[in-house]
Amino acid sequence: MITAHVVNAHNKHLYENEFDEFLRRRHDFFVHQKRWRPPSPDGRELDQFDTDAATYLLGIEDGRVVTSARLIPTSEPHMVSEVFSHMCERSGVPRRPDWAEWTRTFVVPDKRSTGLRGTLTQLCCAVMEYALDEGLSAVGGIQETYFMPHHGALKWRAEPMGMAREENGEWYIVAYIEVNDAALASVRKILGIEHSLLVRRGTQLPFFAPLREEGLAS
Amino acid sequence: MIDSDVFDFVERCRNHTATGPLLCDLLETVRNLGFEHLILSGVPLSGQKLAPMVELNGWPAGWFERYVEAEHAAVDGVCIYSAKTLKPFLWSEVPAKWSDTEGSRRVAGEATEFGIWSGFAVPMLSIHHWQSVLSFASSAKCCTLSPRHQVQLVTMAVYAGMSIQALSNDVDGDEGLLTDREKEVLLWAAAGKTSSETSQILGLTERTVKWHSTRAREAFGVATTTQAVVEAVRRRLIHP
Repeated sequence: MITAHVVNAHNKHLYENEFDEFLRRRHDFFVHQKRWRPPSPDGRELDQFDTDAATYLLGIEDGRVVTSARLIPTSEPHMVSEVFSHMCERSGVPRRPDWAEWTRTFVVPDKRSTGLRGTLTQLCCAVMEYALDEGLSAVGGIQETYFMPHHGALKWRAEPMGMAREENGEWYIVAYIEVNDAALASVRKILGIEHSLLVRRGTQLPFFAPLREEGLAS
Repeated sequence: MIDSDVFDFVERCRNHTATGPLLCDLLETVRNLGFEHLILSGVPLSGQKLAPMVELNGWPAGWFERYVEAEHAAVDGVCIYSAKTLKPFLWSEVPAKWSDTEGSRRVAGEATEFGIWSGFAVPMLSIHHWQSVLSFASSAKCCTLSPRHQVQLVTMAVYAGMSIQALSNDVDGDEGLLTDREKEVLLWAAAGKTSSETSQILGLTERTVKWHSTRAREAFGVATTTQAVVEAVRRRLIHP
């Protein structure tokens, strides 16, 4: 079972090695396997959305980063608002601090399985727990349609912002998952756990409080 | 068909509490796009039986029985290709390697007796099977789907697939599928032991070991012990 470490701009210094490992795993997955991104000479994958507005959940098991999620308030620039806004023809692009965009999820190859109790479900559980803790109403964004039945299996509800579409040879849809107690309860039941998967170390700021500007506090 | 019909279907999906009404609703909605029949099923790999994998059966009366009875799944190009691609496809787009075989042409020919001439298939992730596919069938000789209609159909397929997963009430799923003894026998098979060797290791008769293997094969609907080992590993029931 993973533990999901909450990493953001304020406690990132505590996770230098883990964060670097995370960027290398991202490079393995999004560059070499998915081919969504061009190779980077240093073997780390970063994009324009890796800013101080992002909060990461690093799923760690046996000392390795095996899975991850990146959450960004949709009130900030995010992938759907900047790249996929045309896929929100039904509802428009959500811009709410309590709606988080969820991106950059991978599972390392040896932890992938189609079973329902695996690493992916554990990460989903951690994301839902974090979202509830932080008072979010929804998490989601651009997703591969192929994997949507996984949400169904967790008994999660996902609201489409528009139609599924083919982009660069793959099918995607923009959809947001409702955050509530029932959604956390159902995924915990599937995993057979009652305990928290989250670990919070160092300074923790609320997910969607405005970032304080240093020096202006006085 | 207009987009709001699709989103209305998505909304209704949430309220269906059984597969029957979901099937009727989906059939009625996709009729507007020219599809009269559909099936949502796990994709059988070689040796697996189709019937236990079917989630929504909206095929014409008689055709499903014929398809299962004749074991068409093993030769039908649409079915074979459904295991090989993650992307939605028109049946007519199935590569000739699988569609232009004698067996596949025979299946396609028989299907026309039941009013099925063309179709569109949407592969999706499945929790228990290799993957699943929602296949829509039309009586039109050649299925012409505008890009907009394709988008509408995929969106509805995805939500139907999600609903089916939500309705399957098997939280404990695979857990009780194999007994401890069956798992043990599969583990030794995975380690390359014959039934005779396994019987000596476990202090059982060879006949009993074979009986446990048979039960494990039946649990997964597969033909060989090797396939049962693969299934058990894939579902994380054993960890060789």
